[in-house]
Amino acid sequence: MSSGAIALVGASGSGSTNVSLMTVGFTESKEIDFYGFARQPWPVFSDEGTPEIGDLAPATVTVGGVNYSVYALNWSSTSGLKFVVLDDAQSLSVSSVTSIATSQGTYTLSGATFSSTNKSGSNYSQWLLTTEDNYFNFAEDAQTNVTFTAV
Amino acid sequence: MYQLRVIEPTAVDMSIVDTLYNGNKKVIDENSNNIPLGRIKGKLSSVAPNKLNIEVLDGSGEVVAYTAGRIRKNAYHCTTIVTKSARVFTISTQEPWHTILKEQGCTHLLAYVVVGTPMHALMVQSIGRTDLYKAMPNEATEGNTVISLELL
Repeated sequence: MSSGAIALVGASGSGSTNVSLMTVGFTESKEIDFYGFARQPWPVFSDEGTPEIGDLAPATVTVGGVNYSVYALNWSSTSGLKFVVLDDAQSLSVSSVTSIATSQGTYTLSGATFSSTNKSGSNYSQWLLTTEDNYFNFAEDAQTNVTFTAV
Repeated sequence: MYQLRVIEPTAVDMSIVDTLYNGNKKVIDENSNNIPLGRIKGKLSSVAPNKLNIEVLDGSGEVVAYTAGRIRKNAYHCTTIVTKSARVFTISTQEPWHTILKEQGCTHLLAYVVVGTPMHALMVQSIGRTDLYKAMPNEATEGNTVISLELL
């Protein structure tokens, strides 16, 4: 019975969710606006020279019961959404995290470009979603819930 | 001589931007290090918290410049300027710009410039009005930088 119940949950496609509180960071250059959260080694590059922006608490996304540390969750006016997590075992795929939502809208990651990158000996999984929709368009330092939906 | 007014980003007339840009392309391209016009328009038209766009009109009511930026922590972060001529910009940014920024509660102007351009030189020289603006020291020698000017 219990295994049947598990199968039913899986078939529903609902996934699991976890919620973090983002303090929205902002920085800019002459041609690019950056909104959201970024920390080393995944900085943003602005004319202001503020590579780390915003905050995320907890800075994790839960996939299959495992917490992965988030290093970038931001939108820029030239690249769209960037979402990066530490994934040393390289166990994640494009479909591991299905959506990311704020009160302004929901990014669906099925259309994102997924890649794995090694920086300073650690592996990171990265989702890049080309979109003009900026769902982090809050005032600088505003706080908003971010809901991650994962498999 | 010039009238400045705050406008919504959605009120920027892109056909006027085209006219201003095409008439002053060489100067604008030099000052921006050839940022594509589409991105300049994006900066002008994007809607964002604390956005401050200023429209400049001459004595006949013709729009002769737009600026775009955001007010953050009592400073106007000005990233984008499209103007009919360098002279229009210099004159309109002296007393009129100073006045309107003060009215908005700003204590500083932060100018996003490319090092070595005429705009960079103008900003480090306090827009030629040291009685109104005081440029802070800036050590950048290349690339993009932000010049901070105190509004006196």
